[in-house]
Amino acid sequence: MKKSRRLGSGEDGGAATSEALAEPGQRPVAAELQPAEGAASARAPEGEAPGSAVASGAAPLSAAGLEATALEELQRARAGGRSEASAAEHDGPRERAQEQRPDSATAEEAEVESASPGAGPALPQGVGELIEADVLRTFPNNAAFQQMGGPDQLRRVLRQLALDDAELGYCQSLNFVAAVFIMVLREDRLALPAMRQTLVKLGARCWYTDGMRQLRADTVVLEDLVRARLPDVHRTFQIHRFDLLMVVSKWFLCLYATVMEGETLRRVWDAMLCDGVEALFRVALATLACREEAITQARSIDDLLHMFQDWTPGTGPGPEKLLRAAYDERLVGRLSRAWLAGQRRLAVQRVATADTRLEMRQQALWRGGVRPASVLAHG
Amino acid sequence: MASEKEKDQYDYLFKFIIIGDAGAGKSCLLHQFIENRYKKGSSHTIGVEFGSKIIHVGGRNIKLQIWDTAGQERYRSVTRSYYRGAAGALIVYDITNRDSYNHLVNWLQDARTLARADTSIITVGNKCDMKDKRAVTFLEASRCAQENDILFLETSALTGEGVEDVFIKVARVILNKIEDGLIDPNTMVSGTHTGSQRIGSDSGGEAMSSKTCSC
Repeated sequence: MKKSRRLGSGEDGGAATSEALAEPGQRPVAAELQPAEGAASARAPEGEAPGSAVASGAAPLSAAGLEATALEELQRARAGGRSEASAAEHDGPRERAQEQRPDSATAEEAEVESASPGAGPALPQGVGELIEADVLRTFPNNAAFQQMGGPDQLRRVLRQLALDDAELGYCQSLNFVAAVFIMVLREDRLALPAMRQTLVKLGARCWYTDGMRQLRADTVVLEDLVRARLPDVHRTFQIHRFDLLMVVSKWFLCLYATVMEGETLRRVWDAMLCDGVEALFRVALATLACREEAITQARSIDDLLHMFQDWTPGTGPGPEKLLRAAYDERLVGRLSRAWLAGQRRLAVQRVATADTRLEMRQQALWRGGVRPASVLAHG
Repeated sequence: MASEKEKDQYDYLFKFIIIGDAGAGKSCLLHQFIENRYKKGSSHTIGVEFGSKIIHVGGRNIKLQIWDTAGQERYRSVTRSYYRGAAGALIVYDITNRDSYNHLVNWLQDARTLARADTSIITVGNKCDMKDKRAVTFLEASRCAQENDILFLETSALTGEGVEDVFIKVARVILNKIEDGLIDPNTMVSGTHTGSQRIGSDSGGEAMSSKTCSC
C-alpha cells in the first residue's frame, strides 16, 4: 500500500495529494475532473500572488470547507487548462500556482447564466421548487458561502445537473457536495463538471437515483467490513439492532460535508479524490474504530443514535488521527480497489434481489394474497 | 448522557415516526417538541434523525423514541426500514402547500403497510402561523382525517402551537389501546416496550434473533 503510507504519515497533506495526482499509471484526479468543454475562455489572469490567493481563500473556506489542497490543485489545473489547452493535464498543477481566478468574473458568470436557463421550464414539476428550498437551507450560517454568492451559484449547478441527467435529477444532499465544490473552485462553471466527474469516479451516481440502490449496497459492504475488522463494534450494533444505513446515508451522500469541517474534511476529500470510493470506506471504518470504546459502551439503541447524532463537525478525532487510522493496516486491514469493486457489485445484486422480493410481497398484499411465484408468472 | 440515563425511568417506550413531504417542517416539529424552541437555519434531513423525550400521560411516564425521516420521494427506500414497529405515525403536511396535502394518501398507505397494522396515525397540518398563505382549510383536512379514521391537528413548529398536543394525543391513544388490551406491549417487535424490561436489564436481553433491516 504505497498510498496508505503516504497519506497515513502525511504531515504534508497538500504535497501528498500532488504526488498522488502525479502517480504514473493512474489517471490524475485533476485530469479526470477537467471539464469536458475545455478551454472556452482564455482568461487566466495573474493578478494575485500565490500566497495571497491561499490566504484569501483560507479565511472564507475554513468555515465549512476546503482550501489549499487537492481541490485547489484542481482549480489551478483548470486555470492552466484554460490558458494552455491540454498541457496542464499531467505535469501541470503546481507550476501554475500563480494563476488564480479573477475576483471579478462577472463576464464569465453572465455567460454561465445565459448558458444555463435561469428559470427554465425543462425541470420536472417539484424539482425546481425543491432546489429553491434547499439552496436557502445549504450552509445558511456560513458567512463566506453566503457572501461569495454561493446560493446563486449553487442554484445554477443543481439545476444544470438535474437538467443534464434526468434520472439523477436532484437529490437532497447533492446540494452540500456542490456547495463545497463551489467554495473551493469559486465558480459554478468549474464546480459542475467537478461534481459530475466525482460522481463517476466514486461510482456514486446510483447513491442518489431513485431507490438509492448503490447506497444501500455500499452499506451492506461496509457492514461486512465492520463485522470482519471491528467485531466488537459490530456486536454492539447487532445487540441494539442498530442499522448502519442510518449514519452511512449521511456520511456517504454528503461525502462527509455535514459531519466534518475544516482540515478534517479537506484531508478526507483529498483522500477521496486520490483513491475514490475506497477512501470513503476507510474513513467510515476509521471513524468507527476511533470511537470504538464509546460505541461498545452504549447501553441501548438510544445511546448509539444520540452518540452518532452528537458527532457534529469539530468533535471528531482530528484529521491526523483519522487519516492515520484510515490507512492503518492493523486497524482497517487491506482494502484493495478490485476487491471493493467486486464486493460492491455483489452487494448491488443482493439488494436488488431483496427489492424484488419486497415488491412481490407488497404486490401480493395488494392483490389480495396472490403468492409471489404466481406474480412472477404473470410478469 | 450518563446522567440522563439515571433519570431514564419510564413505564412504556413508544416508537414514533414522522413522515411527510420535503419541507413540510418535520424536523422543526421534532425540534420544537424536544427542545421547546424553533430550529433556526436548519437544513433538510438526510436519511433519518432521531430524538427522544419522556412525557407524562394518564399517570404514566412514557418515553417517546421519535424517528424523523427525510421527505424527498427517493429517500423512501432508505427510510422505510425505520417504519417497522412504529406505534405512532405523524404525517406532516404544510398548510400553505397544496401538494404536500395531496400526498397524504401515499404517506398513509406507507404507514399502514410498513409500520404496524394498528399504528396510531395523526395528520399534522404544520405552519398554521402562516394563515394568510393557507392553501388547505382546517375543515377539509379534518374531514379527510375522519374519512381515513386518523387523528388530525394543526400545529406551528415556529410558535410551538399544538406541537406537544400532537405527541400527547397519539401517546394517549396508544396508551388507551394498551389498557383496553388491544395492544400487548410485550409482544411488539419494537414499537412499544414496557419500561421495566429495559431499565437495569442487560441490553443483551433485548437482542432478538431477527435482523433489523431485512424487511
